[in-house]
Amino acid sequence: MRTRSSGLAFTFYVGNVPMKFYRGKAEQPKTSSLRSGVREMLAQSRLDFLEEEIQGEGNAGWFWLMAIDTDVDGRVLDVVVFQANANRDIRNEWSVPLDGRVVAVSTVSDVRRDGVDQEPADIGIPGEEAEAVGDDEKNEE
Amino acid sequence: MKSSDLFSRTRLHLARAFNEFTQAELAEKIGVKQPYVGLLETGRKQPSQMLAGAIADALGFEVGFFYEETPDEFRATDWSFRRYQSATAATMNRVLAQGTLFLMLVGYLDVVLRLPKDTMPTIPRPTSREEIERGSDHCRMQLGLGLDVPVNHVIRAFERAGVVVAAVNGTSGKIDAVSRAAGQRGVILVSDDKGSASRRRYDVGHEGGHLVMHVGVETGTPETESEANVFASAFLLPRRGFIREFPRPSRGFWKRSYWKDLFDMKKRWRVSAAAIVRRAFDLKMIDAADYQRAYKFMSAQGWLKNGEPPATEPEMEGPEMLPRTFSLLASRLGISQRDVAESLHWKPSVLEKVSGIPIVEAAPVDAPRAKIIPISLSRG
Repeated sequence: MRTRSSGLAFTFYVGNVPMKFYRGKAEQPKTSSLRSGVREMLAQSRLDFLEEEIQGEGNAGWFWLMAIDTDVDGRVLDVVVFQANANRDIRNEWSVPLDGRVVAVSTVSDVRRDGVDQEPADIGIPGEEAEAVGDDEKNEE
Repeated sequence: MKSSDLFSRTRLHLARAFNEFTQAELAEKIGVKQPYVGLLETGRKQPSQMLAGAIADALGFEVGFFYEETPDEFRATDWSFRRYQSATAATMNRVLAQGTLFLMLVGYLDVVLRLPKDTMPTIPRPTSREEIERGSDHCRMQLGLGLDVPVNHVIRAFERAGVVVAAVNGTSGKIDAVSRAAGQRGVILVSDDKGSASRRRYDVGHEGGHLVMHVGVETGTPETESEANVFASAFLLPRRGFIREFPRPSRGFWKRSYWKDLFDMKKRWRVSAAAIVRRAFDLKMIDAADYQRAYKFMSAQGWLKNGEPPATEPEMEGPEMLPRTFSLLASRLGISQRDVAESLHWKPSVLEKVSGIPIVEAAPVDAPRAKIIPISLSRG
C-alpha cells in the first residue's frame, strides 16, 4: 500500500490499483461522488490502471472505492472496498474485517463536539460521605 | 514522621536550598563561619539550642522542623523537571526543596482530609510514538475526557484523579513545572511566573505524561522529556479530533487569514498555535518545509519569544483542589492556614510560598477549634 497523492484529493494504491475514499454506504454510492471520483482520476492522469482494465473484457468504466460507514458520532461501523461505475453500479464488494485487527481508527465525522465538563475534585472530611462539590464554600456563607 | 533528638542535617540543607542561601550567606545570618555550616550539613556537628533557634529564624521555620525525621524525598532523581538549560543549580535545588516541602504538606492534608484516591492511569514506558498516542487515548478514556474533543480544564482532570497541583512563584522563569509520582498520589508544581495560559496547560500535560508513563523511571533525559512532550501534544490535541479540524495551509503560512483559522483552532483547543503547528508536523499533515515556514513566521512576529497575542490566549487555569482544602479545613475543622503551618513547624510565609496560596486570616467559626494536628500524623 502506498500513497499516490496526499491532501484533500487523497488517493492511494493497493498494489497497482488506485483507490479513493468514499463516505457513505457501499450499496448506495452518490452519483456526485462517483462523478467527482472519475473526474479527479482523469484530471490526475491516473488512468493507467483503468486503461489496462478497459482493455480487459467487461472492465470499462469501473473503478475502485473504499466506503466508510459511520455512526452519528463518527465511529467506524464498516469499511467496504468495492468497484463502481458512473451509473452507480457496484460489484466486487469486500468488507474489511474490523474485529480486533484494526488498532486505531479515525472518525470521519465533521461534527465538532465540545469538551467534557467535569465537576471539581471531590474532597471532604475522613469518615464522611462524599459531599456535593462546593458545600464547603456554602458552609462559609 | 517522628521527632528526633538529633538536628537533621538534611532538613537544614532542605531549608537552606528553599531559601536559596549559600552556606556563606546562612553563616553570616546566624553569626558563624561558613565551614561550620558545612559541618552541620554533613552531620559532624550538632548546633546548640540557641544556634538552632537562630537557624530556624533565618530560614523561616520553627526549631522543631529540624528535629523531625529526615525526609527521604530530597533527591533530584525522584523528580521530573520541565526546565530551561539556563536554569541554575541553585534554582533547581530551590524548586526541589519546594517540592519536598510540598510533599510534606500533601502528606498532612491526606491525614486530615479525604482527598480523591489516586486513579491516575499509568502505562509501561512506551517504546514508540504510536504507543504514546495510544497511552494518551487510554488516559483520556480513563479520565472521562473523550477521544476527540478538547480538554476543558486539564488541571481539574488530573486533580479528580488524585493529583495535587500548586502554582508557585520563585522558579526564576527557568523551570516551568516539576512533578513526582510519590507515595499515595502524584503532585505537580507549575510556575506562576509565566503569563501564558496555553503554556501552563501544556506544562501540566507534560508533567501528567511523566506521571502516566514514567513511574519508577528516572526522568530528565532528552528521551523522557521528548516522550512527555509527545504525550502532552497527544493528550491536548488527540489525533482523531486534530486531523478533522486542523486547517490545511493551502493558502500558505504567510497569509494572515490562515493564522486567523489557526487561532480559531487555538481558541477551541486552548493550546498555543505553535503547539498546533508542531502537532500537524508530527502527524505528517504538513511537511518539513511548511513547518519551517510556519516557525519562521511565528518567530518574525515575536510570538516564540514574547508569547502569542494575548487576545488569543485561553482563560488561565489554576489549581482548584488545594485552595478548597484550606477552605474546608477552616470551615469544617476550624484549622486555619497558620495552624497548618504550625503543625508542620513552618512559618506561615513558608506555607504561602510552598502552596502558592496567600494566608487568609480566618474569621471565627463555630466549628470546634482544633487543633494543631500533631506532625506525627502527617504521614500516612
